[in-house]
Amino acid sequence: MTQRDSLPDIQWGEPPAPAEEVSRRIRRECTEDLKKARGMSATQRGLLSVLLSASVVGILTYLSRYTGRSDAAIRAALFGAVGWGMIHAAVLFVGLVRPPGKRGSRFVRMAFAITIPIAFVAYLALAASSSLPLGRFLDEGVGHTVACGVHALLFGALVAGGMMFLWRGTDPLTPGLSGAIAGLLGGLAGAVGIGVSCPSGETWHLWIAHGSAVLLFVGLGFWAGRRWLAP
Amino acid sequence: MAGDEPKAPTVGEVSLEGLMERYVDGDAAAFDALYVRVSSKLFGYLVRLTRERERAEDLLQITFAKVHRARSSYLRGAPVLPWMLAIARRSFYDERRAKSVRAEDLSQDGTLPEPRPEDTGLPTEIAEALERALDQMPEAYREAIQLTKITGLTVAEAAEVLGATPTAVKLRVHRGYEVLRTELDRFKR
Repeated sequence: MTQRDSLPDIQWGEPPAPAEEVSRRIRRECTEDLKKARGMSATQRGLLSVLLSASVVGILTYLSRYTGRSDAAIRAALFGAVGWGMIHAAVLFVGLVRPPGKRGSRFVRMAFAITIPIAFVAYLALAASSSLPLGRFLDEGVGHTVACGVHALLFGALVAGGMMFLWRGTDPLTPGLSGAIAGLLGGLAGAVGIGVSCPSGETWHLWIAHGSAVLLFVGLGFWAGRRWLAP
Repeated sequence: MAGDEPKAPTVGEVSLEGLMERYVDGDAAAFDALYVRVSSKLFGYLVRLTRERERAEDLLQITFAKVHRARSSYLRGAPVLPWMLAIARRSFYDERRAKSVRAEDLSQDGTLPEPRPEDTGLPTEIAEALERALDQMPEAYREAIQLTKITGLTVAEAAEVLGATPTAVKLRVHRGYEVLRTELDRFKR
């Protein structure tokens, strides 16, 4: 015998209304001297985000002429940069350009924020032209790795900070996740740009100096997004 | 023929998203219409969170102040009610963190404050019993029921507001309803 479920029939009724005086105050505050306050559209913010990332990669590509890298190595790095640029654009569209509530599902965006940095680190391992034993790397390669890592962090911070500024206050629903996406995009742009200009192809160097910036900015972006991306 | 031309929709016919667009463009009448349509939903949600009408009114003002300041960053097409509910919820938790006040605050006379039961269409005693059960159930269940069953959000929208997956929200609603069902059965016996 099936039992009739009474609960779906509950009509919860009208919620209570705030006091008239409160409503009056809110209306006054929100409509006094009300002017058009149209900010940038999502498309404009998205295009500026692409421009920002492309500018950083462009500047670092230009600077690569002075690092002594061969043209063939720069060309190969640029092919990689184009591939990551396409991933960058896809993540930007799914993760930030679509309005909150209509963006890719939380699961998809979280998967982006976790798997893409891992994929990038794996890509660096495949793209490496040499691999030193860890002990020898620590003896010989640390100085350049620190310098390169600082540059990756600086350029990554420039793009990630710019993204935070462009998308500030736009996402009350998932600000942490959107921040992680912004951090991912910033870190990726910095790391890919440094990847074009850096003459080293050693695995440890690539992982530590280039790859760690991406991982770091995803975490920082999550933290910063909760503060800056929510209204 | 001029008479057959479609008329521009009045504020009463426009969607919440359309009203928000007009408000962002500086239309005060659109804000008024928007306020009429969302204020009691936001207020009802805040009353349940705070269990205190006065605090809920303060938070409602804070929420609308934030909405007003953030209107230029509203992205066209974003669902308005979840957008505002998320701001209201964040305001509540920010305030609670700042004051280190627990949700289960006792009022000055040492009793647990209870929001006035809404009109559920049920006999008063049953309605009050359900309200009591709703107030006493875990916050996660209560919020899920409040957003989906009372405020009218879809499960996906409620999941966005709560920062959970749709499956988790469905589960919370289901478990919350189990609590209500038990209460109702106990009352009928």
